[in-house]
Amino acid sequence: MLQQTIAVVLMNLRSLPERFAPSMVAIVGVAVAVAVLVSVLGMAQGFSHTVGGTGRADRAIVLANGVLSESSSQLPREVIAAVSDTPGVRHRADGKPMISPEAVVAISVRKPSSNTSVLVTLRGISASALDVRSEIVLAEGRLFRPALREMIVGQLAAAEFAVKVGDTLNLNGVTWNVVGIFAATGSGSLGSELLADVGTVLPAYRRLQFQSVTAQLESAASFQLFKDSVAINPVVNVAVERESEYYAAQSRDFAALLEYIAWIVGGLMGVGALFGAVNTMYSAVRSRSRETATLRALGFGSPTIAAAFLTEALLLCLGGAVLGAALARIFFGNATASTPAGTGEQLIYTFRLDAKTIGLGVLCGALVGVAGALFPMVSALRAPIPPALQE
Amino acid sequence: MKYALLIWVGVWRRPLRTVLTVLSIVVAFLLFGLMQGISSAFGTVQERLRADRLLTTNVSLLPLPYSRLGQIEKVPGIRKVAYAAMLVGNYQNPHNTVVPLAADVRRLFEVFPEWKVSPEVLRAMSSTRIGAIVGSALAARYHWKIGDRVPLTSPTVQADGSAVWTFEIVGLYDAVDSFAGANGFFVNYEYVDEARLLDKGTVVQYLMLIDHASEAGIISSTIDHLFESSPSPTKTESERQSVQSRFNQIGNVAFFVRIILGAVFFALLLLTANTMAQSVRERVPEFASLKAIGFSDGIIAILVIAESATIFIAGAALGLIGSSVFLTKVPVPLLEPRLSAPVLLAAAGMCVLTCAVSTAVPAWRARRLTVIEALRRA
Repeated sequence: MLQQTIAVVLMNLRSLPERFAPSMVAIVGVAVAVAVLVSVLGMAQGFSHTVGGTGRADRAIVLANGVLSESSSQLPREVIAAVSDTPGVRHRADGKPMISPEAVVAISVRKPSSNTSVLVTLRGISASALDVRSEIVLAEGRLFRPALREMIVGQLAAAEFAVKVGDTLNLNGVTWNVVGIFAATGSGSLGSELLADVGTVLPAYRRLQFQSVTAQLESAASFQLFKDSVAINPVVNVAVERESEYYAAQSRDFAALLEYIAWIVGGLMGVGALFGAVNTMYSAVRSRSRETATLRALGFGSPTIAAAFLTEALLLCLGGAVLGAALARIFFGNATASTPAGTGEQLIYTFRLDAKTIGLGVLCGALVGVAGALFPMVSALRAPIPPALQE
Repeated sequence: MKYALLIWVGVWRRPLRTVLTVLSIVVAFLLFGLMQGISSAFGTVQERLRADRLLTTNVSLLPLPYSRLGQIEKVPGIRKVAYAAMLVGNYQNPHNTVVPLAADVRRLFEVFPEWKVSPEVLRAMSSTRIGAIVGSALAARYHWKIGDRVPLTSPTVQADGSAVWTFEIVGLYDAVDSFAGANGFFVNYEYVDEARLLDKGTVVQYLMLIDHASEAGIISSTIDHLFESSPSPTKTESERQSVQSRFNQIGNVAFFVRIILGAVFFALLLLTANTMAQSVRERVPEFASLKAIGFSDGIIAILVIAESATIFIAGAALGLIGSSVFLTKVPVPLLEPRLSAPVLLAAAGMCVLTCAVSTAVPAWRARRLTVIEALRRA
């Protein structure tokens, strides 16, 4: 029976060029729907990958109690001493605890491409931050010197805002010299940020308090020990979270919104593509009603005929899906987006059209093909043979 | 009309194909209505922003001295000035953000004439130190009534160390045609400034109404010039400008919408052109018969066009009605997406354009049929 099926399938496929126009309808319909679905999902993936990649399971972030994010947290200096002495924190070779007290300021920067002002994060760090945040690697220039208004800029931010080493930036009334550009290996939101000495940032923007303390733990397993020790400390009233969980929560809402949009718009377009595919298959069935009736009269079984039409539908729709995914990959594969993240500051990230997303798109195309072939197939098999032979 | 019957019969010649085509058109216009509806809502909402209301903030987003009120009032062209300090707080849990504006409420309501409040409420504010005027929408959200005491937790600590601020609601206000709606929480500046530990004597922004919106640029520069060499230089811009730049941060929504809709309508064009071409090809003998009876070439072409138009209008109407229902049922924050006249006009345009392009060739072919050739093919 397999031989029969293959023969009929090949026969159908050979006649495909006759039905070029209707076939294009199915291909283009599916291509367009899959392209949109895959692109928007790629954007959502890129976003959550970048934000999620910022946090490590073996680091903890300490914030004021009851705040939703770092920028609304305010910590007094006592917290720094308290966290330094807490068990669970890794120590350097010279015995110093690996903790990084940080201040974040939302800065208004002009985007040259659209000539609008957006908010960017300026993070005040101390020397210990480079021990804790080992993903920071200097790509150009040098590190800033303490007590001077010098800063280093993340690669992504430097590209987005056209900033080079040696530039002078006036940020919200304070003038800074850009002395270096750094890369944040392993993605993460740091690449969209500006880093400077916390001792300079605090007085420059008239701040008295830090926003957060990030601690490098001895291991991911030490987190509970660290958290409990901080909780029973009467001096401070803070919230402790595993850094990876904190950032995952920050990205959840926006990523979910993008995925929602992707499925709604892509879904609607998929429904439209389905109608197109059904139309195509009906015209395919109709144009070969005589051949089909002949085959059935000769004794070819229903499964064989059905398989032939199904194969044709799958081929067209999979072809469309692959075309759509390829278009999405070509146009958006390496696109960068710059949108406000959780608290309004810009996050710069690349679209992520990975194998899983593309596979999902192709699968949807296949589903449209199967669904589109269903009813036409049934009508082909149920048509009475004699009138069909006379057509 | 005798032609109506002909058109109708033509439309329903292959019912399934017609239904599928109509459904595809419905989906395309559903998407069109949804996306254009939301995109144009962005634009409408920005219309509500006043170009004659200016906001002055510190360039570095820190507080400004309260003492500047006098200087600002003297700038020519300014009608009313108000000031406000902010307390960022939450009610009951960190997700219920409430941001009380501490101000001289009389001045504030003068600068926002679209907010309606009764004079008794304003009087009650001056006699109740911890009083609050709350927007009717905000009060409805948390089921607050007049007389309720509302505790808010804020990182702004009071002089006595407490982070909980309690206010008593003395009245509600309504908003008419206002961008922000009735979602404000206004408290007395004197109380907040006295009770807070840090930033005493400061405000976060000055808000003013000017006489002529056209003077917004000049007045903004004048104000900023006054303070540019002070320790806290200012940035003044109209309300409309400041919200527009925040919207622009979200990215070019209109651009993406246009791309997606372009792709959708391209696919739709292909589908309907194919359908109409098939339909005409199948009915060549019929058209030939009609011509033999005496129908002119022009009429035949018009029949084809009319058929296509019927399908399109039906599909577009259903799609737009569907999107309108969806838009009203699903709440979108801050926007009121509706199918406004411009969107409907655009939809009609798209409908006519797509119909014309997809029907052009088949109609022309039908017109050019010679009776003899056509009957021979039958």
